Amino acid sequence: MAATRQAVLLAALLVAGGAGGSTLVRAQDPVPIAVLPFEALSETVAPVTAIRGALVGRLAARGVPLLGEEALETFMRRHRVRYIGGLALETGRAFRSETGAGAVLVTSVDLYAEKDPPRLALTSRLISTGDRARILWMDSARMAGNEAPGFLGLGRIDDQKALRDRVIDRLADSLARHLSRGEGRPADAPARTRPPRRFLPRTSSRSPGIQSAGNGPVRIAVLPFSDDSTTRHAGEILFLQVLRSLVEAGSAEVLEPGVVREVLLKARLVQEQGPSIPQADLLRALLEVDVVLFGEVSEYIEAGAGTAEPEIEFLVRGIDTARRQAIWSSVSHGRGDDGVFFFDWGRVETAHELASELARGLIDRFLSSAKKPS
Amino acid sequence: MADRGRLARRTGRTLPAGLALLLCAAGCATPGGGRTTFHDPNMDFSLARSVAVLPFANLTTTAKAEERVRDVFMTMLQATGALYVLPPGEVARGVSRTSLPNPAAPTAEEVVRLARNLDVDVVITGSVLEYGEVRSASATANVVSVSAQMLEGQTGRVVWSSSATRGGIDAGKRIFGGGGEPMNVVTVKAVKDLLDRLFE
Repeated sequence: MAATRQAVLLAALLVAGGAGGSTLVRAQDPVPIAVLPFEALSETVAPVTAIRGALVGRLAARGVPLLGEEALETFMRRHRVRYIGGLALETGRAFRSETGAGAVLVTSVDLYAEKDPPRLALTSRLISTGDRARILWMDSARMAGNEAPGFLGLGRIDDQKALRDRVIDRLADSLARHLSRGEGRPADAPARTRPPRRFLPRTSSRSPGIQSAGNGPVRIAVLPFSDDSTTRHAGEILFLQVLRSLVEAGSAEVLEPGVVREVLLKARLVQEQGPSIPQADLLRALLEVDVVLFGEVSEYIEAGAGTAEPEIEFLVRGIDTARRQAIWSSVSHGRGDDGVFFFDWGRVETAHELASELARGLIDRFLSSAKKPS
Repeated sequence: MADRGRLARRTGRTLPAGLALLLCAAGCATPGGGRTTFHDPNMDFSLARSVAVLPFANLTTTAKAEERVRDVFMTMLQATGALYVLPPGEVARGVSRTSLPNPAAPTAEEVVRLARNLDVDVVITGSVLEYGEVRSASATANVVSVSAQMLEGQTGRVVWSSSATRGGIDAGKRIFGGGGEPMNVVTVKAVKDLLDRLFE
């Protein structure tokens, strides 16, 4: 019964979030979700296929309608889909018309360690297919075996498989909860807590207001972050956490990175130090964005066996495309033991969690300046 | 009683000697010898509304040190609200269009061309002189030393120049040990010193 209700709500949600006007699905039909192959962003080799299989199983068990593996493989082979980190507009349209999939689930394995202690972090987002690729939901789930050792270390997890099950359960629960709830935050949802002071940007400057091109919410495009750290994919991991914080905040319309990437490639916009003003003009014209955010990661140290604390430093800038001005600049820096004095109380175990908290602090401060003038 | 007399005699000998040493040290100092800032007295800094911060020169062995310090400098300069700081991508476009051979040390003519191209009032250049960890016996600490110059966009001449150093090992750390502050904190302090000197 719950599964049927979920499928109907999912269909309604996808119809609302998908193409404006023409759609191939009716609200009563269960609209399947295509789960793309997982992107590996972890430093160590992760069994992405096995992790994906486990998530697919958990979603199916929760009554989430999924596109068959064969149909997905055939589609990806036919369209030569190699980019699995997002959904381009063309691919989204083809997904809807050829497979009937109402949404695509894009997932990355951001952190994986077998032991000492086992760790796993996944980031997932649901994107509507059709004429408008829109991020419907985004979340991360992570766990480190030593994050809650408890009395005499009895709460410590040493088995990667046990840890994996918990992480996948968290992610599947989050998605299923979102689908059964429908679009938007429920009225009775608890208010979002402000991030602790230690996770706010160390230095930041902002303009008082952002002008929007249309009447809707502020449209934001996040460009890929450049990476000067010694950790592979640190730029992508932080980019995803910033994106997730923006999506979670809900007060701005965040463009799907796959759509942004498609435009960047077509327009051949490559600028190491971020876009220039004429490039920002071009992005406004092509994507109708009000704000372009871009960043750079200078430090990303993941805690591991024998090493010290996780540590992250990154910078984010923003350009208001209407005013053709830089409106935001911030430098965030954090360590796992910042503000920790007694018994490791409040200690952050992984760089992934630290990235998530720092991104939340950044977006909290940024969005307070990004309210549309009424 | 005898002890008190000995103490008074000893104090009577050491106090004048100490005072003499202090006077000698003061006499050796030259006027302005400790200053690290130059302000052009003919420049009206309130007229500068926009600034392009060029890539800093890196005189250290730490890769990308100049980028990190420049990023913090640009963010903190913009946070003062006194000047509009051009985004780095726009500066890179200007550097490319004016074909600056060495953006970290432009000539006066190049500064004029760049300022006209980017439509800015002033241009800032800088150098990172020291960036990294220093050690002394068991003590370690991070140190940052940075210098910056402001050049007028119309003439290309230097109107402000200063340098700042933060971090390092002081007497307390040398005696008691300790790791000092994180690099980011030291960098923020050094840049704050620089900006304080710019707006003083």
